[in-house]
Amino acid sequence: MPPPEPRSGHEAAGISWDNRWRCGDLATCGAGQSGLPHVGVLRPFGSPQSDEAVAGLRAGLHDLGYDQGRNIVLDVRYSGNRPELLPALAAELVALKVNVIVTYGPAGTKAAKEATGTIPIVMGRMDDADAHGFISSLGRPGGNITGVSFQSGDLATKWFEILKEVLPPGARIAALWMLAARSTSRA
Amino acid sequence: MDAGSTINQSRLIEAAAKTVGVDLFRIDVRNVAEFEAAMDAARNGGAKGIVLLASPMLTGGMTQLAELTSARA
Repeated sequence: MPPPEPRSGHEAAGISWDNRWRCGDLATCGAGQSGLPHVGVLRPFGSPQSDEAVAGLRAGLHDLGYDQGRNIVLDVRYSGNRPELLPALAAELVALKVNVIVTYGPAGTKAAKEATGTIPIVMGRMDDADAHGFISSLGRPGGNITGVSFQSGDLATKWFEILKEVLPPGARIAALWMLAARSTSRA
Repeated sequence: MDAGSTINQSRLIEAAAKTVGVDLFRIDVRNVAEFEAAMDAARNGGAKGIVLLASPMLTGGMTQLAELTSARA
């Protein structure tokens, strides 16, 4: 499977794609119990009934020729907006001997990182991965973590410049902030 | 650490707003159920634009937030 190109507005957290799929290609990865490549997904939000992120992941895999049950197994674990459950769910995926763990957000990535130092972890969506300390740098992430990092800090100035262009002078702008992380995130 | 926006993000966003000269105010949300109140707060605060700090919840709720914003336009 060739590495995807980083999308506009996002940066790949390093190009250590050799770390991403250590076995090179999902089709030849050490297969799980089913004999198929086994992808674990750790979701802090969403539910099996409504999850755009996992639907997008499935669609992307389909585009690459991988379909659930046919030639790949996806095991998705939802914490239901309860981050304290993520470590146990990550441990569960590790116990299942998945070939790779896909995470979303800092809590899921932290749980996966603490659960395994060998299974590749792909950040499906992360903000400022380097600032969180999950990777050494965007260029050389190191360890067993790679993926996509949304560099909010780098983009923020551009957001505001664009908003200033389209809004009346002196217009106020609101920033929506998810409160949960305030007391515990790395500053 | 949990699944929310980060202190680092907030600091960077606030610094960027200051650099560009934007009058920014922050609205806290804890869960999806607070989206509607957050949009009310944005309107009542006189916001003409909204930025979302990256978090799985806010990113996943962009469609809903856009609909709520349109309803208040």
